[in-house]
Amino acid sequence: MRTLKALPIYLLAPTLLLAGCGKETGKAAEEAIGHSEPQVEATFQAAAAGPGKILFLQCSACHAITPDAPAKVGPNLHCVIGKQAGAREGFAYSAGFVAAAKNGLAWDRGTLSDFIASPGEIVPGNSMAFGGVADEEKRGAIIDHLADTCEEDND
Amino acid sequence: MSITLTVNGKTHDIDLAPETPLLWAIRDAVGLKGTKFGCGVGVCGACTVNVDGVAVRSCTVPVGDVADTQVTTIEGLSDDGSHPLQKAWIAEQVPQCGYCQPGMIMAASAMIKDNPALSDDDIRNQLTNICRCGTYPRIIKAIRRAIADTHEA
Amino acid sequence: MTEQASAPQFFVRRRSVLIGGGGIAIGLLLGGCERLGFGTSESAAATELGAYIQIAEDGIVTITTPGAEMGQGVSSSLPKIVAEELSANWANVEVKLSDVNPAFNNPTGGQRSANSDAVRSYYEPLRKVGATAREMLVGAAALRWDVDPGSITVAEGVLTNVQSGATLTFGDVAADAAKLPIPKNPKLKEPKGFVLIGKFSPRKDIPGKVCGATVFGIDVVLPNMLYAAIKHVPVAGAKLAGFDAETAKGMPGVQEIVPLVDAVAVIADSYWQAQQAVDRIKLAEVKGERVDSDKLMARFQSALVNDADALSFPVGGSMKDPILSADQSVIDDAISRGPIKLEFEYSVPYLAHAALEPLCATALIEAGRCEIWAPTQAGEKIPPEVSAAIGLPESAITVHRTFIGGAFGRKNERDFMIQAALLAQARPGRPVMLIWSREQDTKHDYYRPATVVRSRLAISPDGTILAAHGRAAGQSLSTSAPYRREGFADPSVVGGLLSPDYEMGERRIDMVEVEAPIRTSFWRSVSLSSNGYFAEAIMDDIAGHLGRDPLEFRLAQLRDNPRGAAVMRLAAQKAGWGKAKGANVGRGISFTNGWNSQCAQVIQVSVKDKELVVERIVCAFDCGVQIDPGNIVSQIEGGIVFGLSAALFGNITFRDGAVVEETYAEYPVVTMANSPDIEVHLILSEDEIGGVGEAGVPGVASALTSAIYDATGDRIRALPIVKAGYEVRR
Repeated sequence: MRTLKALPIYLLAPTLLLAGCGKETGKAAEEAIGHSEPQVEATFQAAAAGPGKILFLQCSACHAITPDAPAKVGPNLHCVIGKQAGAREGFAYSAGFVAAAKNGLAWDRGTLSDFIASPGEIVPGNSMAFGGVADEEKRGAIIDHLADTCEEDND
Repeated sequence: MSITLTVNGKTHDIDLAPETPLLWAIRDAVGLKGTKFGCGVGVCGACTVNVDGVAVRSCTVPVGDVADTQVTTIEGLSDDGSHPLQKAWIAEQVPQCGYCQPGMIMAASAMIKDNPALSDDDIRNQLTNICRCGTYPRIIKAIRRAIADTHEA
Repeated sequence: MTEQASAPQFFVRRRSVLIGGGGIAIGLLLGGCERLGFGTSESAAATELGAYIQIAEDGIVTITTPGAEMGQGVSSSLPKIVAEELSANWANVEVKLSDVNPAFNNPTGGQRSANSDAVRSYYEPLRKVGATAREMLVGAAALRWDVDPGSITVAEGVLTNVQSGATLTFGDVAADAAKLPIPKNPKLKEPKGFVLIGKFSPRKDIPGKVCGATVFGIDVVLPNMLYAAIKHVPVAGAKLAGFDAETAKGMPGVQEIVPLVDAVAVIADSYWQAQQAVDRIKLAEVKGERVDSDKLMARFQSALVNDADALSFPVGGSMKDPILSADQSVIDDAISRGPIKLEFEYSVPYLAHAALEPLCATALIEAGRCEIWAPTQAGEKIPPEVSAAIGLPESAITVHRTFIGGAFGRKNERDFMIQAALLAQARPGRPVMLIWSREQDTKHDYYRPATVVRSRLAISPDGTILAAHGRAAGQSLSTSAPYRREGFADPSVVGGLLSPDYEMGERRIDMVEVEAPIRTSFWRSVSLSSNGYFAEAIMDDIAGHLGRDPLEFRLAQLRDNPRGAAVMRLAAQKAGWGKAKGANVGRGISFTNGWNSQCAQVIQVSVKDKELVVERIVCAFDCGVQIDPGNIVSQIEGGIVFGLSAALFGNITFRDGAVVEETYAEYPVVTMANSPDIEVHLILSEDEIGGVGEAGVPGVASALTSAIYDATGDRIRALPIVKAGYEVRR
């Protein structure tokens, strides 16, 4: 069952603003995440597929996100938010990731967004063959999809 | 089992197993051959299409996962090659064998839409499609030309 | 479009409006997004003037290219030669691809496109074709005006009566012209008067390619089509010993399981279904030799000292009039006398072609005939080989050549077309398209062979090369038997191992052939793909030993070759050779003389902590007559990127008999991220005509290793460069 906090923030904030209350909550959420002024792209068929799900299609070539699915070219990312980087069992990480893990890199929405923007900058020497997602909002949607698909208890 | 898919604005009922890659649904069920099979594992990008505004390597996406979405293929960019990228590709005489170019153009179109202010380095880092004929220098020129022409328009 | 039961979706040319003037938008004006097929023109009003030219009433000139279009542009460059002499308006020219047909053979009796010889071999014959048609059109106009043909001028598809000023278009007189006798010795234009050749013309195939309309081999559509996927026995050289297809048989869409000599194929309703099924076929273990890269290279190494089995090869001249290698005893003696004795060892790996369109072919067997549609470079060899495989006469075999999604030599082999024909035999009356997966394409290639080379030299302190012995060890090509001369080593492996362009005293090239069950054949630039590296690497090693500048040293040793000196000087000048460079920056230069073309490349790199950035490649190129300078530049750019992929990354390895690499993930190639700036400067030598398609490839590896040496002092003598621990960045 989807909880309120799992809804994409950029859809939530305008709703609150329109409602004329909860402005502060919306703004605080914005600041915490570091998003700029949210804009909803009309082309997304949000109801049907969810923007994050479509955006994640470009990741799913290499990453599974269902629990216990085997690693593909990249590690399984189920419930990866809040976990240490380079720590999935059964996956042979690149030297770059081994080093990053040793340095204590952990995945939160911020570090994930930076990484997806420019994988080679955040984890130098990694072998993820991906150019990066330039658009901040799209990165947010991808991260939302990671959050949405997490089936661990989240208290 | 029938999956509904809108491709280039036209709705199709696809009667294929849902795990069939979108690439083969487009080429076989819909009959559009512009999207190419190069590697089948999402590395070369020859199969790139646009799904709900996102560039996607269609060989790695099961058609069942994109039911009820809007898919755009190279054939959908324009009726007559008049998309700014297509015109630029012709002006710079980019293609040699041409096999990678539909996927290259689709990837470039998504990339430009996301970031019209992109630099040459951005292009180099984000356009990971493979061209075995080595047309990379001309691709950069063509993307620059397309961006310039779009701004002028 | 006429509906015919078994007619492919041909390109139908609508009657187009005459378009004046040139311009990039030509393809668009012609409605550029229709399926650009392997074309049989359906224009009812087209008059044939021989196999090559059809002229429609509206003036559209359709020219058939005899070449196989794999990106090198022969679907425009060869028709352009015809169009020049014909005096057609390029804007009104459309192009058709040719079927395999002796009418399109080049003067040496073949129709295959390879060896960078399309323009070279067809130049004079196609000029004659165009001139012949022009004279017939002029003759028809002369009859209609009742004037002497000499008083008619022709330009851009229009004939003008000089005296009266009256004009006729090609379309007006084509039908009459076709009835006239064919002139035996048409007058060719003076090259000074060329209006198309030597200038840029937009390529005819490009508009379709940016629309996704071009029909490649994999895009052929025929009624009642079936598709097939294939799984070869993984062990190189082994035959099929048995298989278990119990699971595969029952899978969705599966029609038939077909064993072949070294593979099993599944025919199904779709390629995807066929591939899913063939993935689940288990092949029986095979006995026999299991090649292994490490062991194989060790065998090559020990073969290097096997004088007794070394076959020599000419060091210069021509195959008709060769300059023979010095005998072993003579070269040993010369080298022993020094005064400075040098010895270097180099090696290059097996390389895959890795074209983006995987191998595929469609075959239809019906009523005693076999029709094939394939992205093939080959020509005259296909009918006899297919005939032998399926037992139908050669005359019953038709081969349509489609556009090709990259080839680089692989699609000159006939194996995949023969397989398609054998599969079609299992389903007569239905076209069967066989598509190889990327993994099968990578693992069952005809590879560019690996070689190890030992070069021994005697030089004097002033740099004079008194004696040189280049010995290679490795496989010869599986397919080069027809090109071999008794007693000589394989030209396709050792041709050019020592460059004939530099002054050397006694010279010997020889090779110890090592047998291995790996299929090897032609790879873009063939022997120069490896020898372009070996022959230039020794010049860099000698220069390095003597502290000489690599450019100055080459120019000092260069035999009388003004074209070669000119390209080296131009590349050096444009690249800023000798000018100050930053720390960590290095430059190297290479020279290639092949296919009667001359190519010099300067490569600039920066290297820090074994992170390599290939910054810039500057090339000067002289191919003599230029059909289209724009297309020449693109071919050289592409050849350079192709050579760069090989030098940096290319490495096919074997373990337990099978190729290890599967897709571009394990066999990387240059991408935008590590592609350098490339500049190509052309020099025009009007008295020559040289090949272009392969010429950019050989010079990359040595210029690159030389640049790395210049930046770091590290001399790499084994390719690929990543094996030496370098990480490629940009």
